[in-house]
Amino acid sequence: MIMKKITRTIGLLALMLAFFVAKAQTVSPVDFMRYNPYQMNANPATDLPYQSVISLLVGNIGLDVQNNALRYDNFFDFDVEGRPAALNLRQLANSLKEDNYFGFNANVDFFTLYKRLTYGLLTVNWDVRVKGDASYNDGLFKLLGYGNGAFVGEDNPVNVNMNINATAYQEFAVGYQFNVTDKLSLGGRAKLLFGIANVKTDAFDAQLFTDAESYALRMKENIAMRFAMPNAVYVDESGTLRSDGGFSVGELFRNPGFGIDLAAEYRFNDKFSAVAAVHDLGFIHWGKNNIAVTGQVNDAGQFYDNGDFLFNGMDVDQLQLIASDDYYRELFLDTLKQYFQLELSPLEKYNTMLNANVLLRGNYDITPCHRFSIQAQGTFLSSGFRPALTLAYCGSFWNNVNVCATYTMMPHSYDNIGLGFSWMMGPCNVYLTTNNVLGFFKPLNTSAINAQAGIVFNLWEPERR
Amino acid sequence: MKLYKTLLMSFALAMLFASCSKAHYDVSNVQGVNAEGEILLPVASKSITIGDMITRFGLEEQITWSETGEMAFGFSYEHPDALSGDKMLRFGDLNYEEEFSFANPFQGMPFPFVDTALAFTESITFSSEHVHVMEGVMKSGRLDFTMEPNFGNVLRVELYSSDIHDSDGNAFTLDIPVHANTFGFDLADLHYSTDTANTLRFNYKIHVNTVATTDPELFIKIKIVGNDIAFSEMRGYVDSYSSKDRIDTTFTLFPDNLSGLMKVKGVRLAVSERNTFPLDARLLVDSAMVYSEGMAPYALFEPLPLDIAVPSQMQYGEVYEHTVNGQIDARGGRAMATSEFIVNPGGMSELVTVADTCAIDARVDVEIPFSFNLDDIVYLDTVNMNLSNLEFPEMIERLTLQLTFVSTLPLNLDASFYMYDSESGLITDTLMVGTQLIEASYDGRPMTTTLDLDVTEDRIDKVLHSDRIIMWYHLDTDAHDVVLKANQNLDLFLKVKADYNGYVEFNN
Repeated sequence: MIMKKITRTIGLLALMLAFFVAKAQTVSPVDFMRYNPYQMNANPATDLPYQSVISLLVGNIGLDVQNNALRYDNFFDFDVEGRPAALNLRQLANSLKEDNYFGFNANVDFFTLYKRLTYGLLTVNWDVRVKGDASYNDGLFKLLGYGNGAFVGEDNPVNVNMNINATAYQEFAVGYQFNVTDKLSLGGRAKLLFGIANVKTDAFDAQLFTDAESYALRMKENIAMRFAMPNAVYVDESGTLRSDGGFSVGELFRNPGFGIDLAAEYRFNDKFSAVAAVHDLGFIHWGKNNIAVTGQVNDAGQFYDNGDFLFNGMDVDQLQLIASDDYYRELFLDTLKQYFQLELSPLEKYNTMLNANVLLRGNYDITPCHRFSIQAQGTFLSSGFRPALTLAYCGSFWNNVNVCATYTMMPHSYDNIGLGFSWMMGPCNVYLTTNNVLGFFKPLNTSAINAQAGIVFNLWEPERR
Repeated sequence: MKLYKTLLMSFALAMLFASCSKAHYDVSNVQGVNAEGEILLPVASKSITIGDMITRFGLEEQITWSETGEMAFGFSYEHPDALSGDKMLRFGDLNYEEEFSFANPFQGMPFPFVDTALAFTESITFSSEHVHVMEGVMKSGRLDFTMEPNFGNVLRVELYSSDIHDSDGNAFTLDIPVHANTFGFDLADLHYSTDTANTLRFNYKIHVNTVATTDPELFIKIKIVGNDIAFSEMRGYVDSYSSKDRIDTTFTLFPDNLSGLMKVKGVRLAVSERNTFPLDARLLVDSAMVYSEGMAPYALFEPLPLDIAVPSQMQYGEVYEHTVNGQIDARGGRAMATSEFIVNPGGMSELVTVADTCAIDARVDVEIPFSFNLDDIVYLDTVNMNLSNLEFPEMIERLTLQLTFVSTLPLNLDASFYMYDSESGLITDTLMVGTQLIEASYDGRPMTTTLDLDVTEDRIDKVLHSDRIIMWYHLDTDAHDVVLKANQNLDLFLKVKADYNGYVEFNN
C-alpha cells in the first residue's frame, strides 16, 4: 500500500517536472550524501549520525554555473585544424531558444558548528553567498544573425527581453533538527541576512518593428532596474553615477534580511523515506546606496513618436547634410544616442525576496549503505520557476568512503551526470562533488558546471557509527 | 580500492582530452565575424508640394496661388503719374518785351526839371497749348522786370493788377523803389482770375528822376522774364493733352537651372487705370511684344493699336482684359510696349477745374497660369557630398536601393544621377540613366513608381570617392495640357534592402 502511494507520488512529481521542464536550477550530489553534514542545506530535517560537526573557512565551498543555451562551439566557425576562425552570428542565433538562462551560485561557508543536544541537533552556519540569474530570449541574436529582414510586419517584431537578477549577501543561520517520532524528523533554520549588493530587473524589454511596406523602424523600450551598491554612491547633475567614498566593513551589515528553511522527513520503514522541504523563505531589505536605472525612448527630436523611436527615413535635405557635412553627421549620430540614454536616479529603499526553493524527495535504501533517491525541486526566481528532476544513488564503502552518482534533468539540459566522493579519515571528512562530470570535458559546451568541496570535522555518535 | 583507481583514471583521461583540444579553445585567430542576413531600412523621404517648391526656389513673390491651389505667375508693371495735372498746369517760361513812349513834358523847360511819373498798362500771356486758365491758384512762378528808359533812372514803381489777388481778395499792388532799373516778385499763392484766359494785365506807374533830354518823346522798354509758372489748381478750359510712354521690362519664370520651352495657355493680361482728372481719357497701345530666347517675338495684343477708354474721375479699375496663349522659355523673357495716354481726346472742354494732383496712373498685370505643356524641359541640380571617410562593409554582397516615388504631378520625370569627382573632373559613375521614368499622374490619382537600383561593390567605391551628385531631370507632359496646383504632391521615398553575407574583420 505504502509502496503504491510512493509510486504514485513519484509519478505525480515526474509529471509536474515534465510540465515545468523549461527551467532549471542547481542540484548537488552533496544533497544526497548521507554522511555529509552539508546535506542539511537541502534537508534540514535529516538525522545526521554525528555528535558534533565543525569547520572553518573550508567546510563548504561551492560554485555552480548554469547556462542552458550559449555554447562555445556555436559561437565560431572552425578551420580544418579545429581552431575557431570567425564568429558566426547566425549559427549562434540558431542555437538559442526563445527562453535562455544563465545562472551562477557561489557560496563559501566560513564557519559551521553542529552540536547534538538532548533532543536534537543544533546547527550554526555563517556563509557568504552570491547568486545570480539572467534569462534572455533569442531576439537580439536573431536580429544580429538574420538582420531585420527576417522580422517584417506588425505581428513579427524583434522582441528583446532580459531579466537579470543577482544578489550577494551574508547568511547567519541557526537551526535545529529533532526526531519527533521514530518515523518523523523535523528541522528548520532561521537566517539573519545582510545584503551586500543587488541588481534587480523589473523590466528589460525592447521591440523592433519593421514595416513591410516602408521599412520604417519602430522601436519600443522599457528598462527598469534597481541596483543596491556595496558602497555609497550618488548621481551627479549630469546623471552620472559617482562613488562617494570607498567600501567599508560597515557596509556589509547595512541591508538586513531574514529567511527560514523548513523540512520534514518521514521514514515509512527501513527501506522507504520521503523528504519535503522549503528553503529561503525570506527577504532582504535594501536600505541604502540604491540606484534606479530606467530607460524609455527619450524625446530627443524628430524620431520620437508617442513614446517610441520611429525611423521612417530622413528628410532629403537632412540626408544631403549627412552626406556632405562631417560635423553634422557626428552631431546626428550623437543625437541618435540620446533617444536611448538610460536615466540614473537615487532610489530610497526596496525589498527583494529570496529565491524560495521547494523540494520533494523519495529515498529507497537497498541496504543501510546503498540508497537510491528521486528528487524534484524547483526554485522561484525572478525570471520564473526553475525545476529539476534528479535520480541519485549514494553508497558507503569500507565505512569511510561515500560515493554518490546523480542524474539530473533540467530544461534543455539532459546530460547532467553528477559524481560525489568523500573520504573520512577519522573525524576529518574530505569531499568533492560535481553535478556534471561531462561538463569538465567540455566546460564551455555544457549546460551546467558545478563543484562543491570542503573539509569538515565530525564526531560520530558512537552507537550510529 | 578499485573504485578509487577508476576515479583517478577518469580524471587523467579528462585532463588528456582537455589538453588535446587546446587548439579548439584558442580564440586568438578569431579576427572577425561571419554574418549573413538582410537589412531593411528606410533612408529618406520627402513630401513636397508645388507650393513648397516655389518657396524653396524663392519664387513666392512672382507666383501666387488661391486657397484651392490654382497658381499663376504674377507680374505687375506699375506706371504712376503716366499723365499728371502737375505737368498739365505748368507753363512755359515767359520772355516778354514791350516798349512804351510818352511825350516829353519837359521839352523846352529850363533846368532843373522836377521828378515825374509815367503811367501805362501792359498785358502778358502765359503760354500753354492745352490749358486755358480763367482762374486759379498759383503754385509757383516769378516775374522779373527790367526797364530800359532813354531818360535817367527809374526811382520807384507802382504796379497794380486786378487779375491777381492775395488770399484775402485784395488786388495785387506793388510799390517798390527800383535800383538799376530792375525789380521782380513771386507769384506763389496768389489767386488768379481773369476775363481773358491765360492773360495777366498790369497797370504801371513809374516814377522817374530828373532827366536831361531834349528828345520830344520819352521811351521806356519793359522786359519781363517769367520762370517756373505753375498752378496748383485752375478753373478754365482744357484742350486735348497727351503723354507717350514706353515699357521695357524683363521677367523671370523659373531659375536658371531650368531650361526649355513651355507652351502656356490662358495668359491673362489686364490693364488697370486710375483717372482723377475731371476729363475722360484714352489709352492707345501702339505695340506690345514678348521676346523669349529661342523663339520669334510675338504680339500680346491683336489688332493694334489698342484703344482703351478711361472714364473721368475713376479710382483704380480694370479697363482692359485679354487672354492669350503662347510659348515661352522656361527661364522667362522680355516684354516691350509703347503707349500714349490722352486726356480729353475730344478737344476743348467745358469749363472744368483741374488740380495739380490730378493724374492718370496705370498698371499692367500679367498672370501666367500653371497650365502648360512641357516638351523638353531639363532641370539640373548639383548636390555636394563628403563620404570619403566612410567605410563600407565589404561583406555587403548586394545592395538594392529602392526608390519609391508617389506623385500627383502631371509631369513625367526622367532622372539621371551622375557621380562626379571634382578633383579629377570626371564622372565616376552613373547611378540611373535614361530609363528611370517617374510616371506622371494625369487623372489626379497618386502614381507610384518604384525604381530598383543594384549597387555593386565597385559602384559603392566610386560613390564614396565622388564629391558631387549631378542630378539631371527631363520633364515632359506627353501631349497633355496640364494644370499644376500648389497643393499637388510629389512624395519621394527611398528605402534600402541590403543583403550581406561575408566576413567582417573586427578592426573594420
